[in-house]
Amino acid sequence: MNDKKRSKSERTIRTVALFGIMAALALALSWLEAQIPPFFALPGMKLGLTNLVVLLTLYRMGSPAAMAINLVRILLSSLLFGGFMALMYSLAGGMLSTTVMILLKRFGKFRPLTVSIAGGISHNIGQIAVAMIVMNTAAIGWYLCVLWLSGLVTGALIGLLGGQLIRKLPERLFPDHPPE
Amino acid sequence: MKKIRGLMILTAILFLTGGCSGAIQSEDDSEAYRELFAMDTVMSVRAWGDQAEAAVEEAAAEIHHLDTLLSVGNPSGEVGQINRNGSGTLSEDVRLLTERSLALWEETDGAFDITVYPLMQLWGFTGDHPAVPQEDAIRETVQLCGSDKLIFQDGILTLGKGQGIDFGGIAKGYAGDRIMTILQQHGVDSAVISLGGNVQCLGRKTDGSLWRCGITDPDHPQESDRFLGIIQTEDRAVVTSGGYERFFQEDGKTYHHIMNIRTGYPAETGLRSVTIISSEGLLADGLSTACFVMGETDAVAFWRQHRSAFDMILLTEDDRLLVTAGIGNDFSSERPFTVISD
Amino acid sequence: MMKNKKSLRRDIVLILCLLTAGLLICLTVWLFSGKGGTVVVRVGGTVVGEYSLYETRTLTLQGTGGTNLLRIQNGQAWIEDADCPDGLCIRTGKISRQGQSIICLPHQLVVEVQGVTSGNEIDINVK
Repeated sequence: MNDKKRSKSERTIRTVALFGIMAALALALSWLEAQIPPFFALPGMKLGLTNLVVLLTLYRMGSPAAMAINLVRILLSSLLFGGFMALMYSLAGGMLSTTVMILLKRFGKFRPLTVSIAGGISHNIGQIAVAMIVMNTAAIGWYLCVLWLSGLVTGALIGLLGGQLIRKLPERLFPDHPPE
Repeated sequence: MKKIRGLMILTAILFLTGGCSGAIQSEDDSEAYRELFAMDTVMSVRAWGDQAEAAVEEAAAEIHHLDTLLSVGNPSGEVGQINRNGSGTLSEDVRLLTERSLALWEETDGAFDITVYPLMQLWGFTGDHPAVPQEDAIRETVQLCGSDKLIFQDGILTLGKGQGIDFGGIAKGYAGDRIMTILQQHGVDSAVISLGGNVQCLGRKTDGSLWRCGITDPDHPQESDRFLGIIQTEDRAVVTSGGYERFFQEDGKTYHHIMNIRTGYPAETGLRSVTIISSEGLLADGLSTACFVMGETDAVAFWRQHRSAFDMILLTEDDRLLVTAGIGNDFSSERPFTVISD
Repeated sequence: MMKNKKSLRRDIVLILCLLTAGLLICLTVWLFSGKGGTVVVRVGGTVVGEYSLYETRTLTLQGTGGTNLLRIQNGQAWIEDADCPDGLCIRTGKISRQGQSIICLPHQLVVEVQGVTSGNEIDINVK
């Protein structure tokens, strides 16, 4: 939009390529995360490496891109590595956290670190909500407690890393959405 | 303003986490309860359902009907007449009971036998004053007993010389099965009955949980909060047989009512109580007596051959508690117990 | 870079809010959960068994697609062995307080500690 020298089709090609790269990166991180031995003692407790890509996309390519890439990533990784239940958990966690992150960024203009923390927590909460329905249990107090705090910590780690990436990655990689 | 938006989102998250406790509440059906005296014991029927009242009413009528039919003490009843006349044409209920009794007699190698009646009379267990009979009399009576001397042909049952039959070992179990059918016909899906301690339950409790059946501890038969163990179950009959139920003492020795038809004396097989859990009341009732007579080794061997039909809980005289694999997860006890598998 | 001190303060406020909320949840859960009395086992949302926390037992639980070995002893319950792919249920460790649970997602299994009931409550007596 702001680059009149570039033709529309050129921009489209670039955007599609960028989408592909980001989705592939997210998928790769998904796979990597699945390879990490489960050193956390609770289901739903994750490092959330893919959130790095979502965070990056959100700040450098915009909200629709972040949502789209995350959705593609979830569908593909569930198809490749998990089953239907894994898809339900990922969808609930991923959609909730991405929505929260988008809202916080758009209306609150918060920093990547803060957005990532909120994303980490809401990701875990989305998964808990599905678990509650599937397992027919309301007694998830302990899980909520542990997953809230773990989401906060992992969200902070990803946020610190992501914040650096957002700042350091060269502008020409994301020409259509320069950093704010 | 933006801070407020952030807080609103936070609140939304909190609401989302708190708003999902969807407990399922089922509408309570009406409950019907009836207590009655029949078959020389107290019986209770408790059922839940729209037509529970009518169902329980019909169940009570069926119990009285069967009591008249099967009672050995009632000379005008069908069994009473057969015992007096030595033969008789069987009604539908008695024919079925006879067929099942003979099959059980064969399967249990004679441990279950309806021709035990003369022995019960001799020992006085049919009356109020049981006593140890003369040894000669016992030997003579043992000769009379045995289902092999029964002739059942074309719906007519003929007893051997001096024989008498008593369906006491399966009558309550059969009544239980009949009641379950009647209750189901009335749309009852949750019920629990006790026919003199023979328990049979239909479905689960109305809150969806399993029935908790406390099995009487022979050491504390009168106490209502001390049990041999608790079995959690649904759609099952739970029947216990033990020497502690009916017994008398003579010269410092205890004699109970479960007869070994081969010796003519109360069965002494090292068992204190046998509990059978089966989907069929008749089978549970019959096998509780049969397995008690068999003793631990034979009873366990019998279970291995018929493990899909029933499960059991054995208490031995040396205070070991044994539970078969099928109910290993559903049984709990303050005593240590061993689970028998293959 | 338009970030100024004011925006930084808002970030800190939100992070602190989230942290406080988390700690409050933990505190509430801690306050409202005493020592448990019974263990309830559910598979796919259906109750398959209820056991006292104070009766020693080892249970083989049949979940969807696999089994978990549950051990109950001295007021604690834990999964001793399981054939689920992640083994998280074993890592969860011992649970003893009301509301604590062990969840095995692959087998749709929930083991949950509930309040104290007199373990001898029965519906009917078998005599």
